[in-house]
Amino acid sequence: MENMIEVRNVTKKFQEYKALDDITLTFEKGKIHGVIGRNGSGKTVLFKCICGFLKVDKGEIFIEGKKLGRDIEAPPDAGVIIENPGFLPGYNGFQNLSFLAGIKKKISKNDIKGVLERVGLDAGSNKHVGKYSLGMKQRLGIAQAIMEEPSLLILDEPMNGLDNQGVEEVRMLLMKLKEEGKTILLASHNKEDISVLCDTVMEFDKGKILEKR
Amino acid sequence: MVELRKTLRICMVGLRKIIITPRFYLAYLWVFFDFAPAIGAIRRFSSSVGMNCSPWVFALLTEDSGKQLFIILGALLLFCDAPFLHANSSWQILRAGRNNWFWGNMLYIWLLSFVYAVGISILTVIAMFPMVEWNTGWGKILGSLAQTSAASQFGSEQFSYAIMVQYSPPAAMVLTIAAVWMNAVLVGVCNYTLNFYLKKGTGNVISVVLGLSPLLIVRLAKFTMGYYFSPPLWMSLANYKWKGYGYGISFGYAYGVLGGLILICVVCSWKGIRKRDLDFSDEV
Repeated sequence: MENMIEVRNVTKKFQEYKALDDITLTFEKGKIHGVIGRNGSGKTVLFKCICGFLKVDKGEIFIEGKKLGRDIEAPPDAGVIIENPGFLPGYNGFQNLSFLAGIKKKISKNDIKGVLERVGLDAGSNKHVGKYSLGMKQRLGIAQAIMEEPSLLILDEPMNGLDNQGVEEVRMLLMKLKEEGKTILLASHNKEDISVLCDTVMEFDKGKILEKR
Repeated sequence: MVELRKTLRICMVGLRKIIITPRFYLAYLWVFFDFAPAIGAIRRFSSSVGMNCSPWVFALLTEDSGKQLFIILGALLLFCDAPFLHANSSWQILRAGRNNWFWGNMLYIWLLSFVYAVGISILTVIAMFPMVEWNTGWGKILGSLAQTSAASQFGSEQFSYAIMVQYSPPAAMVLTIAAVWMNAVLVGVCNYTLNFYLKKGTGNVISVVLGLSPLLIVRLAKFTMGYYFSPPLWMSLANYKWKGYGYGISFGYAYGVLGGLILICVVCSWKGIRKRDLDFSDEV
């Protein structure tokens, strides 16, 4: 199967500390790839490098054959949640998504309303994001990631703050997105999420891949 | 290549973000509190003589180095979170690309600085209500406060008569607003560059030093050459040579140096944003 992402001998250092140590891996298209590991193991750093937020010290990253930093600045068609979802607290969910959607202008207002309903949020609500619970913010973060129907989703702990029903709904959503042919990178502390959802699993420890299965 | 539409969108998101933060209004309130005693004195004088004041007082108020400090600190309130690397920015960068995102930020700094400069000049007119009336000249109130002892009697500052003689009121307003605008842009890009390259807050410290420089030069050191090294002093038309005569700096020098400093900051930060890691932090 064709590769969506290819990471070749990537090392990322913060001063002397190696957050990623000569990592080589590939993520195939159309699959859910789980990335697990303790805090500080390198999962988030890997995701940030793939997104182009962090520059690698050594090695190369290719997104659909295009070299990051040379051919492209960032994955051209990706939806991302890394760390805490950051929204403008004085605006409602719809407005927040509209501001972001306005940058690419790929989707309509109705599409935004549709995606809000898809993640279980009220599209007509005027409630400001500042008054949202952590779970609602997380749902809005997921809506932000999937709204432009990207072919690649990079999700770092997307279940954070969700109740059991929310976790179940997001799992169903991810399965559906996989059926639609999306490639999903999923970092989670929850082993059940990984075992239920993922086609491949990589365990990270101290910036190295401990296990692939 | 820069895509103008994405750049504009990034700028608009920034403006929408700032107008709902208390910092935006605090910046105006901050300047207003500093201007209020001087404007109060003009209102008292106006009401005692039963005449309204012309709306050009802003061009005269910026002569005071204390007010220059407050204007710089107001601009600092607007740009203290530069280079605007918040959690929300990561999503913007993914959609716009680093380059467009950076130029969107630069446009945001220019536009917000313009709104700030025009806003505080309008604030001085609003604060004068109802003792204000349209007048194409400086008017008797401001003229009297510049030429007689009325200023000291009513607790007002002695305004510069030289400014009134040398400039028409609209020209003085435009030149003063332009200098405040450029100074606010300088604060913005200086914060952007220094906070990005060095420890966060470094740009803020340098901006405070910039704001304090007129006070240090004019009130403490009386260092005449210092007028060449303190951009906030250039917000006062009294500090310029007039038609090539007299003491002080020229407009060419002031705008050349301001433009040069802004350009250096923009080029440095552009290189940094393109080449370096982007470290996202919490919203201010």
